[in-house]
This record gives sequence, C-alpha cells and structure tokens, in this order.
Amino acid sequence: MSVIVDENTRVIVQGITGHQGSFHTGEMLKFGTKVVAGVAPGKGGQKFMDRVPIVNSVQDSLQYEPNATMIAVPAPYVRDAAMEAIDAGLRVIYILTEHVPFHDTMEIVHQAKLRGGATVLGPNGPGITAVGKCKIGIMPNQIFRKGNVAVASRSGTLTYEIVDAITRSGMGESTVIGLGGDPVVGLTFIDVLEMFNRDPETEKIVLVGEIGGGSNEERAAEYIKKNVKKQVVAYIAGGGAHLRERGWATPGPS
Amino acid sequence: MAADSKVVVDSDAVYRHKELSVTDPEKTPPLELEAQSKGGYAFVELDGGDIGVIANGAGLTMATLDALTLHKGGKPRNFLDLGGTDNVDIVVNAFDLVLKAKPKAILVNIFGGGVTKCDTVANGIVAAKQKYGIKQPIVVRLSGVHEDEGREILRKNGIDSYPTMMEAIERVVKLAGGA
Repeated sequence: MSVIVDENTRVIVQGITGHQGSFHTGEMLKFGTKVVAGVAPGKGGQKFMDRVPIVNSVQDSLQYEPNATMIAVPAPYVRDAAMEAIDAGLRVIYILTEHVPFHDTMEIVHQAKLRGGATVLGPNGPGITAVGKCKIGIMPNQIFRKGNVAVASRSGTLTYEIVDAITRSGMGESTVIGLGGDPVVGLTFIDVLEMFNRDPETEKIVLVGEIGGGSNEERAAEYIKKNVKKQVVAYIAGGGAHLRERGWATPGPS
Repeated sequence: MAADSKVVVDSDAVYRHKELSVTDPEKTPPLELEAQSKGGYAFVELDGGDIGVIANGAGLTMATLDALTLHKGGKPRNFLDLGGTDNVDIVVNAFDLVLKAKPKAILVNIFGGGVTKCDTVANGIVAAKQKYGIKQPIVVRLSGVHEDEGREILRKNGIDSYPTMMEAIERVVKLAGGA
C-alpha cells in the first residue's frame, strides 16, 4: 500500500501533445507509470510514442479504464479540463499548471468534493511519486530510491533537492507528494499527514513549507503533536534572508 | 452604508480583466520592475548583501538564501527565481539583472528537472560571462537533468561547479570575502 497512487493507478494525460505534457509523459513511461491514454481535443486517433492512444475527451478515454489524470494544459483551460475529469469519475486529479486563477481552483476543489470525492492535487505542483510503482508529474526519475521516508512539500525544485539529499544519505522514499505552491490547493499538510500516519510503508515524514503558508503549517504542527507517532522533520523555506520584511512571500492558504 | 472597501486582484486572472493593472510602478523598485518586464522573473533586491543569487524555483531560491545566511554567514544581494528554463536567453537576462545590483560574487544554484536542463543553463552562464565581460567570480551548483553535460561545458570555460548546494555556498562565501 502507498499513498494516493500505487501500481494499480492508470493515468491519462490531459494536454499530452504540449511541450511539458509530451516530454514528461515519456519520462513517466520510463519510470513505469501506467499511462493508458492522452487527451488532446482534435487529435484523437493518433498515438503518443507509438504506444499511448490519444483521444479527444476524457469521456473517450474511459475505454482504457483510467482512474487518475495529470492535467498539463495552459492555465485558462485548467478549470474545464478538471471538470471533465470530475464528470468522468476519475479518482485522482493532479494539476501541474501554474498561474491558475484561484477562484477556478476553489471551484474545482469544491466540485470534486460534491461530486464523488476525487482527490485533487495542485495546482502549481511537481507531481506525486510512489517510488517503484507510479509517478505522475515532472520530478526527475533519477533522484528516487525505494525507502521509508514520506515527503510532502509546497515547492517544486526544493522537493527535488530534499529527495535527492535523502537518497544520497543512504535512505529512500515511500511516497513523495507535491501539494502545490498556490494559495488554494487540493490537499493540506494535515490531509497527507493522516495518510502517511496510516501508511505501513512510511516510518519517517518530511514536510517542506514556504514562508507565507498562513496558519496551515501551524495547524500541522499541532496535529503532529497530538496524533503522529512517526518521526517528523519540517523545514519552512525563506526565513533566513528576511524576505518577508521586504514584503515578499509566496501566497499560501490561511 | 459602506464605510470602507478593499479589492485584491488575482494577478493570475488579469487576462480576464485587462483593465486591472496589478503592478504599481511608483511603489516598485526599478530593478524589480525591469525583472517583471523582462519575462516575469521573481526578483527582490536585499539590502546590504554582496552575493548575487540565481536559482530555479521559489522554494529552492529561498532555501539557497537561508543556507547562505543561516549556515555560512553569507549576505545575499538579491533573490532571483529563474522559473523553468529551457532557453539560454532567460539565463543571460538574469545575469544582466543581478549585475546591475553590483554583487562581489555570483552564486547559481540549479536543480534540473521539469523543463530545466543543466546544459542549457551552463550555456547561458558561459554566454552571459562573454556578453557582459563578468569579472566577479561565478560559482555554480548543478544537479539533476543533464548535470554531467552542464558541468563539462562550465569546466571547458573555466567556471567552478559543484554537485551539492553546500559546497557551492562555502566556496562563494569565501570568494566574496566572508567567513
């Protein structure tokens, strides 16, 4: 068992023919992810890398029995893409795209909850990886090694930095989750702490936040004190150089 | 009766409301305005520092400043997040901004991934060094996608590079005359 995704995850890529979508679909296939179809309106009938069928809509992809999607379409189209995935009943919706208007994200998260309870991750995140089983997103394949450390992060490249450090130190990872760096995202630290706490493959937990996280990080700290017996290490980036005093912080949930 | 009201504009939704401009040119420092107009780098000048910083991703850039400040006693001159970079010019323009802040040394911290490839960044660093005749020492950390190719490009051009962030930070603090 891992968290949110595993070897039974069957992924479609919405925006598979785009610059990001095509490069990273190739990397996901190399990682061993079951990418069962790609969605690109108007390009149905083609194949990606001679193996992944491309269809015109999420509905059309249901013949390949997907249960998850990676959304890599430009920001103005993310809301429609996510609604299509919710309508089709997919269980995991990972939004890579950055600069999604936050009212759109609020609507996506709300509708997912109302209509079947799909798990939404992102926007503006690097993906989710269950090491050895499934990778959705853009994290570099070579940084991972199977192990018992779970990582949840609001950052992109800083997640790679920390996973790489864990791997270089001789340890390895169970599930690595990019929560997304936007003011509104699908899951909070507390949501994933509950999952990591239950996950038999996870013995240690690393949380990576950024300044401007609002009360999200504080609530997580209280939750850990009360409920988490596993070892937790947390880092909030941006405290050192007095960036906040200069009026600069990544906007976060509050 | 309404006694007061405030409006917060979501800069990511401005494409739907082009009449709402988000940046106030009178309240934004000139270099930060230039950074925005040059393709949307996140750039912040920091008072009293002497080490120019270029990194990719807001989180990694903040972690770089933290490590410089908290662990090695370095003083960063700026925050500059390249974002995803698959374009040599993005790197060259970043150097232009950082040089205008007149640092004593420049630290580039890149973790390749997403659309960012280390060899592209390395070519950008070499091009910037030639274009601006940079005299200050440049210390580079490259990890991730195409790191070996990137480090080879830098080696041929006489630029120091390291595989880990802390090694690069130690080196740049020394070169800038710190601890």
